[in-house]
Formats: sequence, C-alpha cells, structure tokens
Amino acid sequence: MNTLLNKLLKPFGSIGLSCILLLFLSLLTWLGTLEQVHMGLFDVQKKYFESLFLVHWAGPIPVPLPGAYLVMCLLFANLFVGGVVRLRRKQANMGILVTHFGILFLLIAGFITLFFSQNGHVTLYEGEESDFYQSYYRSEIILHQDLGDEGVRQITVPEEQFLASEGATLRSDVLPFDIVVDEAMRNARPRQKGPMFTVDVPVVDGAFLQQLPPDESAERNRAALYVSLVNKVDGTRQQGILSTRSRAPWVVDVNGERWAIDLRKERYRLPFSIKLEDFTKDDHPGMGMARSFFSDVTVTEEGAPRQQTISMNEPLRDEGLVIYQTSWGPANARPGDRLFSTMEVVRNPADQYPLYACIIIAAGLVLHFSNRLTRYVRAEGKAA
Amino acid sequence: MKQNPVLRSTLTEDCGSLSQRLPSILLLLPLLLPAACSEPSGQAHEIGEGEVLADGRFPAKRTMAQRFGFASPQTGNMAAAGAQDHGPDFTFELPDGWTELPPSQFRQVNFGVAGSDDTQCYLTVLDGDGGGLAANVNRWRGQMQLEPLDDEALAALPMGELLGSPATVFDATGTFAGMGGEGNAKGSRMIGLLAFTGAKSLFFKIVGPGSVVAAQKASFEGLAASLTDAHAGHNHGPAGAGTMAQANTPAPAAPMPSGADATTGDGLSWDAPQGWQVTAPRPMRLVNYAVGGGDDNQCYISILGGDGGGSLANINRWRQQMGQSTFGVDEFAALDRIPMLDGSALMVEIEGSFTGMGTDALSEALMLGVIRELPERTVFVKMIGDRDALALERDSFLEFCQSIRFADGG
Amino acid sequence: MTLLRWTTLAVMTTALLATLTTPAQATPWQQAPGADAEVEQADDAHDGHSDHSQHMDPPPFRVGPWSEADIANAESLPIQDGGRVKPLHTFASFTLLRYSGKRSVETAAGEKLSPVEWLLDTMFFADRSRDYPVFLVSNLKVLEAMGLDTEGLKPRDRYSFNTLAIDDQGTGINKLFELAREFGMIDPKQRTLVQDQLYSLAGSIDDYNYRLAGSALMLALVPPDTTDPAVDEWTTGNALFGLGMEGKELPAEHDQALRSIIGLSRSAGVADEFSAHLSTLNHTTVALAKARGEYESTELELGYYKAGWIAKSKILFLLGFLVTAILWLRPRNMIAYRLGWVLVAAATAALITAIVYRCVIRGRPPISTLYESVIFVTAFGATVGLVMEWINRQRIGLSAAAIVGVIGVYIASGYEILDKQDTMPSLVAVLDTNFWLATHVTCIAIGYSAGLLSALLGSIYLLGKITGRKKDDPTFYRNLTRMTYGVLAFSVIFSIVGTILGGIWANESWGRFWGWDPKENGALLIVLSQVLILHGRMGGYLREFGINIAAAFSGTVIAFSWWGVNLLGVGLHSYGFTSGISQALWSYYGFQWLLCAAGLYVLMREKRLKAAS
Repeated sequence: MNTLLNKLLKPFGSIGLSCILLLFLSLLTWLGTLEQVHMGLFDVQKKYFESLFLVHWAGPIPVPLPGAYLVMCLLFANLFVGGVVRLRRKQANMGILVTHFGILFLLIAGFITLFFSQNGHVTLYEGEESDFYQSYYRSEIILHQDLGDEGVRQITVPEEQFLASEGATLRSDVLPFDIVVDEAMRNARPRQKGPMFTVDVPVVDGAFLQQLPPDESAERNRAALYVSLVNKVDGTRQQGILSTRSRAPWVVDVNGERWAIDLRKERYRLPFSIKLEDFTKDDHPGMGMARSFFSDVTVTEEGAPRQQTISMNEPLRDEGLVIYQTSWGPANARPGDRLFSTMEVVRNPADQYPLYACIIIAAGLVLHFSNRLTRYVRAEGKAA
Repeated sequence: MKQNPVLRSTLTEDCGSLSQRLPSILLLLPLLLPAACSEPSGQAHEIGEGEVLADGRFPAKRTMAQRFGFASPQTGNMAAAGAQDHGPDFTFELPDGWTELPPSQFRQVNFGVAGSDDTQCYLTVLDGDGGGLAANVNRWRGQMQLEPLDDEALAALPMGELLGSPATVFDATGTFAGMGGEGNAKGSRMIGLLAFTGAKSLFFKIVGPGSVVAAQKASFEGLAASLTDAHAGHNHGPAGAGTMAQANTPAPAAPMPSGADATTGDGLSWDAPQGWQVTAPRPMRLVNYAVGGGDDNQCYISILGGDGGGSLANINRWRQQMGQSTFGVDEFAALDRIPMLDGSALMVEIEGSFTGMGTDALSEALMLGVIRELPERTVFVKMIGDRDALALERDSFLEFCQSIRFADGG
Repeated sequence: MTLLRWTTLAVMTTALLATLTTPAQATPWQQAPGADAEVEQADDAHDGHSDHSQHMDPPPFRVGPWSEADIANAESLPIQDGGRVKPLHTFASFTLLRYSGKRSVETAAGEKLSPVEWLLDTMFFADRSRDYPVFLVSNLKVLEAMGLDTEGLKPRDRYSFNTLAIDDQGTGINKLFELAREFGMIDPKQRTLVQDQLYSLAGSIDDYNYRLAGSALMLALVPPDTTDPAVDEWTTGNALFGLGMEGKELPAEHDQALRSIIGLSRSAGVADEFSAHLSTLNHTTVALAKARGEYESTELELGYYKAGWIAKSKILFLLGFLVTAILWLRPRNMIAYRLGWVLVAAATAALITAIVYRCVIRGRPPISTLYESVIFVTAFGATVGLVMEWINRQRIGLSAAAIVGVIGVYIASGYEILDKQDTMPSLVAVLDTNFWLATHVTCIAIGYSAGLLSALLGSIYLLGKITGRKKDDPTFYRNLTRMTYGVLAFSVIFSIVGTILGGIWANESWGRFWGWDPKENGALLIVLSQVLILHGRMGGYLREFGINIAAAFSGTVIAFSWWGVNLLGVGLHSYGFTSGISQALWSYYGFQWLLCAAGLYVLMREKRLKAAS
C-alpha cells in the first residue's frame, strides 16, 4: 500500500513537474501582460489567470494553454507532495521546508481571496451617508413588494441567474408572476424609439435597448435586460425593460399586488453606516498634483457614531471589512466645487495572510542560504 | 482578436455565486470543478422569498420616459450611488420623402434622404470640444479630397445656427472618399453645420452626389432649423460611479460657456453694447462678441483661476503679441485703472501689429485689455482688432467692462 | 593584502577623491569682452526696436563674466518649484537640461555659460539671451512643421529663440504654438514622435518666454513670512507686486524682497548696484526660509550638485573599466590590478555618497523614482562585485563591478536627459510613504541589481566559452559559475520578498494583494525565472553551462520588468516613455539573446564532441 501510494505520488512531487509548471506560469504571466495592451485588465484576469483552460491567439494560430488557476492548483499539489511531504528531512533542507510552507500558505491565501472575497465601493459627496456599498462589475435584479404598513418585501437575484441565461425563468412562491429573461445585454443603453425607423429589438412603451460594445474598463459596462412577466393566474405576459441606468424601477400591479422591479449594481450591506463629513485634497504647493487626499468620515455602528480618517495607504479596518481611500472626483473640479470621495470596500478573510506568508518565506530563504554560506565558508577553511 | 465566446471558459462567470460554489469547493479538490457549472438556457431558477423590511419604502410609479429620462425633468438625487448618463434625444420635422434611420453610437439622429441611398445625413454630438473647429472642418475637407483651410479662410466661413447655438456653415464640393477614405465619388457635395458649446460639440451634415444635395439643400436647412434638443440644460452626476481615476489634475478653472444665454455666465452678468454680436464661443472664453463689423474685431471675457499668471505677465504677453517690447515695473505702475466689479481693474491700450497665437497678422491693430483680480480668480476682458474700427468702440468697451457685475449667488 | 598595501590603497583613494572634490569653477575668461561690450552698448542706444514712447532701452550688457559673488548669491537663492524648495542652481540646471539636453550654453561670442549664468542672462539680459542657441531640436521635421527652411541644417542642433521666432509669414514660434495647442488635445500615448517633440518644444519656449525671460518676477522666490507649516505656498515677485498695486501693506521682509527683485531688473547693467540687490535678496529670502526650516536641505542640495558626485563617479568608473580591460589582457599585472581597485572602489564610494546625500536632502529612502533606481542598482551591483573580488580575487568581480558601474551611470545620465525633469520630484499621494519605499522598493532594486550582476557573470562565462578562452582551465569556469549561482541565490531572496511586500503594500492602498498588473507580473516573472533556474539545477536539467545561459537570459526578464512594462503604457505603473528607452531596451534584448543563442550552440557542440569521443 505504501509503495503504491508512493508510486502514485512520486510523479506529482517531481522537480521536473515543478519546472514545467513554473514555465507555464511564466508563459501565462508574460502573455497576460502583453494582452493587457488591447484587452482590459478585468478580461485578461478572467481569461488567463482565473481560468482552467484557454486559447491564446498568436496572430492566426490558436495555442491552447492551461489557465493559471489550473497551473497554480497543480503547483500547490506538486509543492505539497514534492516540496513538503517527500522532502528529505535533513538539516540542509530545513530552510527550504519553511519556504515551501510559506509559499503554500500564500497560495491558500490566493484561493481564499478568489472565492471568498468581495469588493465594491461607496462613493459619497460631502454630507452624504450610506449603509451599503456596491460592486464595480456585478449587477443584480431587485424586487420590492408594497406591503403597506408592514413595509416592503425585498428579493435580490444575483447576475448568474440572468445575465448569461437568456430564456431562463426566475420564479418564487411569493411572486404573482414568473420572470422570463428574454434578452440580456452586458452593456446597453435605453433609447427612445422614433416613429420612422425600425430596430431589431423589442420596443416597450416607446423605448428600446441599444446594445453597446463591452467597455475596456469593465466597471463601465451597464447591463440591461428585456424581461417578460408571466401572470401565474391567467398566463398573460407583459414585457419590460430593466437597466442599471434607470432612475426609477418598473412598478407593476399584478393580481392585486404591487411590485417594483429594477436592475442595479449589486449592493452589499455594511454593518455600519458611513457618512462623509469632509474630503480633503492636499496639493503639493504650487502644483495641481495631490500630495495626499483623505476622507473624514463618521462611522455609526448601533447608534454609536465615531470619527475616522481614511487616507491613501491608511485604510479603515472594521468588522472584517477594509475601507480604502481610492479616488475622488469630479475630474474637472475647480477649487470650491463640491467633491465626492470614492472609497473601496473589501471583505477578504485572507487580508493579512500574505504578510504572514512573506515573513515565513523570508525566514526560510535566509535560513537556507545562510546555511549554505556557512558550509561553503567552512569548506573553504578546511581546504585552506 | 478579442475573446472567442465559444472557447472562453471561465471559472467565475459560468458557475454559481459564492454560496452556490461553496459546497462544490468543500467536497471536491480544487483541481477539477464540475463542467455542469454552466447554466443552460431555459432553466428555471428559484429566487427565494427575500426578506421583509419593516422600514422599507416603496418607490413611486414612473412612466418609461421618466425611468430613463426621456424628455422629462430629472427627478431624484443624481448623486453618486447609481448615477447614470444618457444621450440627449431630439425632436425635428422630417422633410417630405425623408426617412428616419436607426441611430448609432456616433449618429444620435440619422436620416435617409429622399430618393438617394448614397446620401447620408446625420447628427453627431460629442462631449467636449471634439477637436475644435479647424480640426473638424479640415477633416471634412480631407474626406472631400480638398486642401485644408487656413485660419483666415476658417474665420471667413459663414455662420448659421444648430440646436440653438451659433454654428459654422460648411459647404464643399469634391470627391467624397467616405468616412474611411475608401470611396471615390466624384462630384459629391457636403454641407454641414458645426457648433461648439464648450460642454459639447455638435455636427450636422449631409453628404452625397452633388445633384441630390443641391436638390435637398432646402430640406436639409429646414430640418436643421427644426432640430431641437429635447432636454437642454440639465446636468449629470458623477460620470459612472466609482471610475478608478487615479490622482487627477483638475483642469485650470476655465468656465464652460452655456451658449444659450449670452449675458450671464460663471457668476457674472453684463450688458452687451449696441451693435455687438455674440459669436461662436470658444474654449477659454466666457463670451465672444464681434465688434464694429467684420469678424476680425472681437471682444471677449475670459476667466482664469488664481492670479491667472499675474497681471504684469499677462500684459507683457499681450504686448508681445502686439509686437511691442515688454513693460518693466515702472511702466506697469503707470497704468490706468478703471472701476469694475466692485473694485478697480488695470487697463492697457496697445497699438501695433497683432501676431497673436494661431491667427494671421493684423498690421494696424489696437488692443484694449482689462484685468480685474478677484480673490479666487482673475477676469480678463480683451478687445482686439483693426485700429481704426476699434478706436470707435473704445467707449463701448469701457461701458461693457463697467457693466460686468456679479450675478445673483456669484 | 597586507596592512601596508591597504593603507596605500586608502591613501590613494582619498587623494583621488580630494582632487575631484574641489567645486566647479566658473570658467575664467581669456579676455574680457571689453571693447566689444562698448560697441554693443552704443548699438543698443540706436537700436530700432520700435517707435513707441513706452519703451525702455535694454540694459547694456555685462562687462565680463558674472562675478563669483553674484553667482554664489544667485545659485544659493531658494526657490519653490515643482512642489518643493530647492536652490536656484538646481532649478537653472534642470531647466537648461530640459531645453537644451545639456547643462551648458555656448554663445556665439564664444562664452561658455553654466546654467546659473545662463539663467541670470535670461532674466536680466533677455535680449542677449534670446540669441543663445539653447533649444534643442533633434528632428528637422519639427522645424519644417514650423514652416522654417531646413536647407543645410544639421539633423540635430540647438537654436536660439530669435532664430525660431515669429516672422512675417506667421511661421516659426507662432506656428509652433498653434500646432502645440492642437496636439495638446491628442492623448499623449497617441501622439506621433514629431507631434510629441513639437509639443515639448512649444512648452519649453513658452516657459522660457513667459516665466524666465526679462525678470525674476515670475519665480516663486519669496517664502511666506510665517513659520506656520500650513501656509506652504511661496510667492512670486509678480504676485507681491500685484498686492502692492492694490494698496495692501506688505510685511517688511516681503517688501524688501520685492524691492530687491525689482531692483535687479532695474540695475541690470550696473554691476555694483545689481550685486547689492542680489545680495539683499539672498539674505532676505534665506532668512525667511531658515526661519521656516526650509533652507537646510537647500544648502545641502547645493553642495551636492556642486560637488558633482555622480559626474565624478562616471569618470572614475570609466577609467576603472579601461584599467580592468587592460587587466584582462595582462591578468598578473599588479599595478593595473591595484589601480583598478582604487578606481572602481572610489567610483562606487562616490556613487554611494551621492545616494546618501540625496536621502538626507529629500528625507526619503534611497529610491523613489526610476532615476534613483538606476543609480542604486548600479551602486549595489558594483559593491557586490567588489565584495566578490575581495573574497576570491579572480579579477572577475572587479571587472563585473566596473562594467556594471560604467553602464549604470551612463544609463542614469541618458535617462536624466530623456526625462527632462528634476530628479528629486514631488511624489504622488500613493508613493508618499517612507516605510514602503524603504522596504518594498529597496528589496526589488536589490533583486534587480543582484540579478543583473548574475546575468553579467553568466554572460562573461558565455563569452569565455564562445571565444575559447581558458579552454584548459575548467576551474576558472567552475568558480565563475559558483559566483553566478551565488549572486542569483542572493537575488532570489530579495526578489521574492520584495514582490510579496509589493503585494502587501497594494493591499494596504488599493485593497487587493495581487491584480496581475503589468508591473506586478514583471516582478513575478523575475521570481519565476530565478526559481526555475534553482529548481532546474536541483533537478539536474541545468548543469554548469546551462545555469550560465539561463542566468544570462534572466537578465532580459529583469530588463523587461524594470523598463519594458513601462513602455506598454497600461496599468497603474505606466509612465509614458519616449522611443529612446525602447531602442536601448531592444538593443540589450538583442545582444543578450544572441549571446545566449551562441552559448547554446557552443554547448550543443561540446555535447556532440563529448558524445562522439
């Protein structure tokens, strides 16, 4: 049994495999860098670095490659088996062992970040307050039911269920209708239909969706949908347009119930509310270049407000969230104009892991190479 | 080669959300995720019952037009969270035999011209100054295989109106090479209107076989005159919440002339003297007047942030433009002052030969300039042109400067 | 070496440094312009500038060169420019470098002016200054676009303001500004080379004409008269004048400063009066700056630039390189060896001195700009080379140090000219953190340095093998390989740690540890290539020859990461560079790849011969 297991594991742990995987990773990193010149970063990340397989086009020639995600999974296995489990336990290898542990830890941190982190932003003008942050890239359908004195019922639908699923039906027991996704567009703009021309998309109440090419900066894509509401009682359909560019939701009365449906950037609740008291942009004297910029905010948690300052390189950490000072605008603001501050909000359980990994790796490397150096010097001494 | 949709294979796009992926991750090695992650269409999704929010407010019911801002005043807060932008929409009177074609990304309104499939007519609206008058006129001339115009000729082009703003009229006959330069249509004619409001640049043009365009010229002009922006004058919130703009250097405090109302702008208002005509606004100028006949004689107001570079420096720059030597501090100290804007402003009068930036030389020129330094910005009023013509306008100029006052809330 | 020999070495080094430490003198004139100046004065009186009453006679030109006292007072004037306080010497020097591509001006009269002298002439004898050939135009197409006749002109030359100026047809500078405004609206990345050069020339000329020519009124020479650090913007003579015009009462020092500045313009041709005003201005503004604690670093900076440490190091490295080249031909020559040691050690010491000075002046860790990364990498690489030489005395370390040194300082000066700006600029907000600059950036730079040194050693190996030197001395190659590998191992530590630190910094600033940004990818590529070599050796795939080929190749990976990614123009790390860097980079790639290919060929041949026998 042992030898069989050993035989199975041996190729997994071979240095040859390590070299091959490292070569692939290098190739992917290099290609992914060059591709960013004409493909946006977000798309390159998805295609080269978060995928299992991909096809890279070298001019007209298709080159199938493993994605960096797959390579790193294999590297993890290879490192674990070959670099830790099967590493000969001797004095000379202690440093390497520690380093390999560090790298494994780093890879784990990467996996956690990929699957369990969430990021978005909260953008406020001075004086504004918010208790949610929103995604840069993701959208959601939001449904509200008017419950009169009891308030509202709210249902959110993540984009996986509608954005790439034309023809899909969204249903719920509490809804008086089913929602059919007739057409989904990643980036589109609602336009008013003129009387004299035709379009090849449906026109609803004098409006239609003009599809736009995907933007290079992925966060500028504005999704939009054609949906049909199918009455559960009598099967009648009504079609509507949902767009992240809308100013107000689509309100319908069906079977005596009133519902509001809208499409917006995905929102995440903050465990507190944050209010921008003051945003300061401090320029280098005599220049327009910012020396520093920071936001003075009031964070109110369970009724208890407290003042905080968030600046570049000094984020606010609270309740498992980290809030960063990312940018500001409007871009052409003049002195005295009202400014807004954009603060990025990140929830990442592995937030500090890379720091720990770094320390472990550094320690391991220093241990290993100083070991070698002393042995080399001793050998020289013996020879002399 | 952009992404190939067939072969694009991603982990996060086609698979379920965070919570849906979790069980898979825990059960399986991170090596091989089930291929059945992608959702085929026609599937039904249970979206759950959501939650009841006792303090939630139900939104008001709005029409489609209101929801997307078609021809209606804006409602609600245009602030950061979920700000959107949208294009203007236009109304017009379609001439006989003309059809309306679907708009495209650069043709906000698109027309088919009566009796000709080769003829194109459309309106383009761009943000900003779109390259400016010269660049666009000469680009069109290039499309017609014509030589570009120099500044004198450009300034001599006739003026009309487009969407309520003064517009330069373009009319040229040549060989139309098409937008991409691949065509070869001899005897084509292009008529166009170009307007620059500072915030936007507007282009309305018709191009096609010469005979067709000649026949349709009246219709084109009528159509242009009837073209109206359905919602002029509203403003936008921050463009696209949370664009990742890094440390931005704000542009100098150049006011954007509105074009619509010619006697107020940027917190100031003024009275234009008799006979002064508002002309096409230009970048960096709050308002521009043609003075005393002829397009060469102009008077304009511009405002710069801060000290605008300093009064002496600006006066010396003007003096150099007029071919004069620069002032030292003695001459500067001896300058006149006039009352303006609740204070006093420096005034200079310079004769000479004008070779200012980007214009042709004007040999017997007169320049009158006034500089008023305010706490946060500096107001410049400058009149430049033919010496004899402007000598007659000196009093009007002084009246004009003294009529400048703070508008309410300025 | 024995104590005696080391003492000799130390003494020689000190002597060398001492001779080179004397501050640069203003070039003494062979003859005073004397009679010529008188004739020029007479001409000025009758000069038909214009017939207007409001016209001041241009001041008569200075008699002889600027006095040492005047130069000393001028160059030590503090000025706030680019967001920081610096000596006028720095300002003049970089301004001239930007316009002219070099730090001196040769006038038609045969005078050679230092930047400060040029600036003084420009401010107070502007009419003369406009005739100095200062503006570098390296492309005749630029002049053609301006409408000037380029018949018989050199492809790359310097022109005076007047030569380029307006003429009746509206060509020259007039046309230049018109074009520049048009091109200014094009996205910098989309501009063609000529458009870029036109835009840049227009900027220089506008700056010259608007800010410098005619007076010192437009420069921010006057510190605020309060010690409150919140008030941090300096004023110009012009602004003070404006305040005075409006009837505002100026504080005593400001009033004094203003009078001096105005006095300078007024007394331009009158030597004693002028010097007095200059002296007063100096005392007044220096006192104000000192009170605010803003003068100390200015003084240091003046000393730093006048000592010219980097220039010294350049000469020393060059000499050292030549001597070590001789050493390759005569390896046992002890004179050449010791001389080489002295020169390279002195050069490295000078460079390190420069770096230390800069740290103190700026109050920052050694690297905060690309320029500083070059000199740091050079200094570190040369140091490691010298250390290796100390350990094994094979002459290889010494040569490597000399090569790294000479290439590095030349790249640094070339880059300085291309970049055309103060090499101690103010930093953007995200870089304004000493901790991360000290840790991440320094680690990465050490990684670059050691990695490039390793590539150099590998290249030396390959050159040796290709040219067939020391064929019968395998120990030489074995030792060389040990050095290559050892330095590489050293680099690995810093590359890995530096890269991860970069990620941690990004996490603290932007909320994500790794974003596959080009600069991050570049760093990762270095780590991967170096780790690949380590594992390749461990797995037996890379033997002695292979290690050297791989190490040499990894030099191009480092070059790509350090410079190449900036040329891609994407991501958070893009700076926008000219084609000069691209050319240099591709030349290096070509050279290194060729060398590796040739080495591979020799390796294959060796293997075949071995297999045959």
